[in-house]
Amino acid sequence: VTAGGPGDQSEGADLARRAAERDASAWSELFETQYRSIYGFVRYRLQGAHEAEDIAANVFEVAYLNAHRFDYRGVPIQAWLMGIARNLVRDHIKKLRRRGFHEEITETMMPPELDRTDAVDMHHDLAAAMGDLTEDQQTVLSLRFLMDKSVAETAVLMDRSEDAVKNLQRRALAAMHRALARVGYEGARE
Amino acid sequence: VTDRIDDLLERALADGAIPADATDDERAEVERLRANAVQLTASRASLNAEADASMPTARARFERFVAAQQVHGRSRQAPRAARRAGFFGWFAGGLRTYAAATAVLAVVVLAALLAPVVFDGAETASAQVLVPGDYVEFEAVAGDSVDGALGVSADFGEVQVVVDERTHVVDATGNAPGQIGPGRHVVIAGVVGDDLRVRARTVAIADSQVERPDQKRPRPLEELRDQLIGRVVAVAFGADGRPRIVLAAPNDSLVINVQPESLEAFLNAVDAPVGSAVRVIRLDGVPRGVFGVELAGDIAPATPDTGQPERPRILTFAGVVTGRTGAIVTIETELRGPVQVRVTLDTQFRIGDPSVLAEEVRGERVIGRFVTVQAVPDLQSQGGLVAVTVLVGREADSRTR
Repeated sequence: VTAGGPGDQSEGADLARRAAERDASAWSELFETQYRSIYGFVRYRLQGAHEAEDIAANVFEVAYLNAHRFDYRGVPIQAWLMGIARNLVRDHIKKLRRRGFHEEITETMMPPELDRTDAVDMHHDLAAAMGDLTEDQQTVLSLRFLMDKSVAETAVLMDRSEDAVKNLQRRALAAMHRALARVGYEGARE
Repeated sequence: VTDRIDDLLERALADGAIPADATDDERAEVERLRANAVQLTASRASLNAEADASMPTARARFERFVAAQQVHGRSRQAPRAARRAGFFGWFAGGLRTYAAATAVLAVVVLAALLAPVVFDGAETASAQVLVPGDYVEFEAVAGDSVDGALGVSADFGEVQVVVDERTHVVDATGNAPGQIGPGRHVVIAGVVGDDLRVRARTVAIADSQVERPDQKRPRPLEELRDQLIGRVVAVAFGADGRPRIVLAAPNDSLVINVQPESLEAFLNAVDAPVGSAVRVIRLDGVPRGVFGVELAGDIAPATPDTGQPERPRILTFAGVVTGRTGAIVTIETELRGPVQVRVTLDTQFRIGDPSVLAEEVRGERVIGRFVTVQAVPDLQSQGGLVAVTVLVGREADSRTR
C-alpha cells in the first residue's frame, strides 16, 4: 500500500502533514511513491502517453500549490491526488473538444488487422473501451485492476461502501465487455 | 441476484477460480466479467513500464516547479488550475478580494511596463511561431540539455525540446541513431505543449557542427508586394489543421499563413520541406493574409556549414492514400510514386486541413484522402518506412486519385 493509502494511515498522515507544510523531501517522496499510480489512473482516460505524463506531472503541481488546503486527518492523500487528476483530465478533454482536435481518431483509424503483439493490442483496445465508461466506472477499474487496490482500499478512496464498490465493479466490467465487443475485440465477443 | 453475482465475482477475482457453488449461468456470467478484469490486470506491467519511462521527465518538471515556487516564497495559481470565480463572487469577497485585485492589477501594470523589453527577447519571439497543440517541424542548432529538455536555437528564437525514449532520433542519412550534441544542426518534428516546449516525435541530426543562427523576430506577412523567395525554416499545422510556414527571407523573417491546397502541392513536390526554398505567391479567392507557396529549388542552409554538405532532413511527404493492407498503407505521391509506410500503435493521426472535421474522419480508413506523412526508416524492414505522424486532409477528387 502506498503512502497515504488506507493501509498505513499513521505513516501516510505524517507524510501528508509534511507535504501540507510544503516540505521538499515530503513532496519528493510523494512524487516517487505516487507518480506511477497517478499515471496509471489517467492513462486510459487519455489517448497518448505524452498527455498522461503531462497531466500526471500537473497533478503534483496543483497539489503542491493547494497543499495548505489538504486535511490530512480525513482523506488519504492518494484520494486527494486522484480527485485533482480527475478534474484535470476533465478540463483537458473539454479543452481538446473546444479546439476541435480529437486524438481519438488515432485509435479509430487503426486498421483492425494490424500485426501487433498481444500486449500492445490489448493496450489499444482497453484505451478505446475505457473511453466508453462512466467516470466512476473508469475509476473503479483503474483502482482495482491497474493500481491493484483491494475492495476495502477502493471503498476508502472512492468514499463508498465495499458493497457499492463490488456492485460498481461488476457493472464496470460488464460495460467494458460491451465496449470491447464494439471495437471488435475478439475476447469480448459473445 | 445482483448481489450474488457481485460476491461470486469478487471471490473469483480473489481466488483466481470460479466458486464451486456457482450455477452454470452464474459461472458463465462471472467468467465473462472476470476475463475483462484479467485483461486489465495483464496490461498493468506495460502501463507501469510506460509510467517509469516518463517519470524522469515528469520529475524534472516537478522539481523545477517546486524550485520556482520556493524562490517566489508563496504559492501561485497553477498554470491550468485556475479558479473560476463568478462575476458576483469577485465582488463578494470584500476587502480581501479588493487587496488581491489590487495586487493583480499591480502585476499587470508591471508586466505591461516590462513587456517591450521581454517581448524583444528571442525566447518570446519563438512564441509567435509555437502555438500549443500545433504540430511543427523546424530546423535549429542544438544547445545544452537542462532538466530533461534540450535547448535549441532556431531562426525564430530559443526553443525547449523534450526528447525522450519515444522520440525517433535519426542521423543525416536518415538511418542510424545518433547523439544530439551541442552545436549540431538538427531538424525537429513534434507537438507544442501548453508550456511551449516541443514534445519531439522525431529529431534528425547532421554530423556537422554549425554556429547558432542569427535570430530574427518573425513578423506576419500581411501583404505581398514584391517577389518573395526564402527558405522554409519551420512548418506548422494548427490543431485544426491550418498550416503556416516561417520563411527566412533576405533581412527578414516571416510567418506566412498558407492555403492548405498550396502547401499540399508543395509537400507533394519535396520530401523534406524544412530547408527548401519557396516562392510566395498571391492566390485568388483566399482570405487576406493567406498566400500560396511553390517550390523554388533547394538552396544552401542559412547556418554556416563546415564543408560537409549534408544537412539534417526529416522525411515528410504528401500524397493520396490509395490502399491499406494490414498495417501497410500505400500513398501515391508525385515525387516518389507509390510509397508504402507502416502504421504502428505509436503513429499519431492529426487533422491536416481546416476543412476536415475530426467527426468526419473518425472511424475512416482514410483511403482516398490527402495525407501528409512524417516518417522514419523502419528498423523491421530494410528500405521500409514507419509513419510517425499522419496529417489527414480532405478527400482527393477523382482527377487526382
